[in-house]
Amino acid sequence: MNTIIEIIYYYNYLVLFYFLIIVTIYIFLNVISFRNISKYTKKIKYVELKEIFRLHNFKPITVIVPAYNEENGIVESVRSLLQLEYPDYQLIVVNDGSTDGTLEQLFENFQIRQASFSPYYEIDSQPIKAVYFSPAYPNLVVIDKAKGGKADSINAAINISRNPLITVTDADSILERDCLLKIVRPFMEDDNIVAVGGTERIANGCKVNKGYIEEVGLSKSWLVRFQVVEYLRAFLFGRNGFDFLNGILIISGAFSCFRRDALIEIGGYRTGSVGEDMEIVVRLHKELRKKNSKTRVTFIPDPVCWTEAPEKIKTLSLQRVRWQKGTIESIRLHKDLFFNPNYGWLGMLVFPYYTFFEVLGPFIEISGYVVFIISYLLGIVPLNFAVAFFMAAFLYGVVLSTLSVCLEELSFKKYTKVRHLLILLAASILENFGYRQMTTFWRFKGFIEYYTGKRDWGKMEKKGFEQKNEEVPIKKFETYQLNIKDEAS
Amino acid sequence: MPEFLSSTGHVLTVIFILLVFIYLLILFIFIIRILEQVRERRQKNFIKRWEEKIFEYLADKGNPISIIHLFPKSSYKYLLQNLRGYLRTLKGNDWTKLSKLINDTKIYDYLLSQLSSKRKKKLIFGAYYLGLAKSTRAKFILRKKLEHKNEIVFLSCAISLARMNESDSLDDILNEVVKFKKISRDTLLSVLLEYDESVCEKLFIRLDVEKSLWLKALIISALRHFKYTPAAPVILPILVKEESIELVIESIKYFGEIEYLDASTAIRFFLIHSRPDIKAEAIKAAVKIGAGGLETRIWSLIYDTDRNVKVTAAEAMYGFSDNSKDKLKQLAYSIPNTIESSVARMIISEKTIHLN
Repeated sequence: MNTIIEIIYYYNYLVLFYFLIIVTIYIFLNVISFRNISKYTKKIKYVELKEIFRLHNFKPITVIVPAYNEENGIVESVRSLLQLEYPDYQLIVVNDGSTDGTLEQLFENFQIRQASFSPYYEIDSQPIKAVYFSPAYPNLVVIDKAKGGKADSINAAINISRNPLITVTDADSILERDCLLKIVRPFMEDDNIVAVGGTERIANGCKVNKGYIEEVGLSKSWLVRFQVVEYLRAFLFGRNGFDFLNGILIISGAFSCFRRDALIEIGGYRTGSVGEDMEIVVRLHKELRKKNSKTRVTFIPDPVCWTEAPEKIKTLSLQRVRWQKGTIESIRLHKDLFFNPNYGWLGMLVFPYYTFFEVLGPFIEISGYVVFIISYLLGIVPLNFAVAFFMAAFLYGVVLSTLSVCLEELSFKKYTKVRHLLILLAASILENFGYRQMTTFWRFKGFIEYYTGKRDWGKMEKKGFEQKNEEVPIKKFETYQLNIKDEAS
Repeated sequence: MPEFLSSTGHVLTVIFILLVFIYLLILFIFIIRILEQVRERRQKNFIKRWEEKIFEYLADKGNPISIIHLFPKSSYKYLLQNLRGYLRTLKGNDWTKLSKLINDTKIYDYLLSQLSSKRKKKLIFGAYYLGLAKSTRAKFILRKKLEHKNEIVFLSCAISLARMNESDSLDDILNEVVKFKKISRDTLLSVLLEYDESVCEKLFIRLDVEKSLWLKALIISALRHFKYTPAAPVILPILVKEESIELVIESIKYFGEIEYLDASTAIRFFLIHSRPDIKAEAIKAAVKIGAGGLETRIWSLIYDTDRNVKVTAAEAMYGFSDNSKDKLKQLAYSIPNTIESSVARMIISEKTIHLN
């Protein structure tokens, strides 16, 4: 009995120690983020993004949009993507074996015509059944391929693309019109950069018009509001801090940009992966830093992409379980980076952080709760101490979230109404009482499911944005008759 | 029994500190928000007054000094922010009149005072607006500030000088830039492209004496953008010397851009280079120059091992002549289906769509 008590006693200390380390890391990340964001906002204040149109030293970009059963939103999405501000970009929509009318919608609305096109597969992907071009929209390409998932769709489009930069986005994400002008800048400023991630924000509650955010708002659902604060925390201080250490291990799947040659060199996205967004970034670091130790993956703190957050607990839980499985998978696949000095801070600090705090975190946290309760029941920990400790932990969570709201206020100020600010501050406090514990539980569930062999994606349910149904005016190019076979024969 | 786990005193201290911190943080957030709203309101009020005056001024009513006199120094920041858009978009007489609002008034002194500040933020602000208004009187101070150790300050001053088209400052910019390891070629190229074509002569002189291969490649790249042909006889030996890959690629691109026929022999040599990126650039240049007699060689590059070379060669064959286009079509529909025929089909399908 004494041995059990002793184990419980030391386990309590382990949890306390774990808590102190995580507090230290977060303080460090916050300090760096304040510095980085201030530097970034200073830098972009006098930057003329549209100068690129005049200067002509831009890098052409291919925007890839994988689409599976997106018949409801694909037209609106393509229309808005065709209006992005950039001097030279190609838009590739990949119909990944949809069983609904996604392709038909594209036929009807963009006058796409099949081309006699047989791609040269530089990286493996499911066979491309057909490639379509649009005489009306010369920068639009549609690929119809056998179903292979998001990663496979991106790989197929990379094979078709000819531009040096590849941007990947989701069919249901809303991009800011100048997002390409912003995401291309790091590539121009540093030749060692191979990938740039954009900052995602939650679109629920925003007014969407013609495929663009017309007015930033907040959802009425507290579940979504908690996610807004969570996103602020993740992007404004999490990624910012790791960026300073060249230790970004994940960039947003909803909006990210890569050097095409870098993607080809590592063989493209890993298909059949649960967390392809993270896996590709880890592999980019791993493979390319062997050849050039200065290789960088970075991100821009500017909010450039708006995405729909789950409004139901069930959908949210599926998302979080999947994210956790993706993290575990990426960490496991590249475990040789763990405390590997050849990768600098990434190997020595960031990778171990992900292992201990992201992969094992939920396990330690939940077991901590259980052991703490047992400790109280066995009299190891008095009630007043237990309550005080939990209180301190909750308050610390509130500090972190409030700091993120503060960072947002100091930088991009997207939530302009005072009401929004009050809601965000309230969400920063309330999320610590239930929501955070739920996400920890889902991550724990993801951990268990991953190690018990259940590694599929799960089925996600999306509601779609509230949109004003106005006709989108797109600059029409001169239409012309297509007769490829005649021309080619 | 553990002392720490049974004593709540220090945890309560932590709770107290956290509570105070949260309180201060929330207070700080609201103060920022209030200040921001006050600033916005002041700016709105200012713009309301200012826009009326500015349109009167542009319609030849009033002089710059009397207009600026109407506004207190504390509103200069808003005034400049408001002028920014106009100065970026307007041209001709309207632009000249607007720039006088900066150059011929107290605002100029205000910007100079910002430029003399030790704070980077103020330095960048001053340099930016002086460049926007092409305040050439400030050029010596801006040139001096190029020596600043902060890269953003350096770039702000360099861009301002380039916007003023101060080609005498070119050497200073190129001399100072080497101390910044983080400034990329594209960033510096953007600065150089702010100059107008007259800078080419200075670039050309610099190219002749420049030792740094990195800067040489950058200068050639800028000359290419300006399509400056007199540098061709000097760049040709640089290409042949093959000092660096970057330099070779930039030189080839330059000859392609200016369609320099005398470079075709050198380009022919680079078509059989070991590096695929050089081969691909040589193909593109050959097509632009229209170097005859290279068709056969370029045709053979469709069978190169590198995908980019294959595609570039196929694209070149499509554009060379009707004959080469026919040959490509034959390859596209030849049996058996090979990588080369699929590349040919890809090019033909792309070209027919876009050219039809």
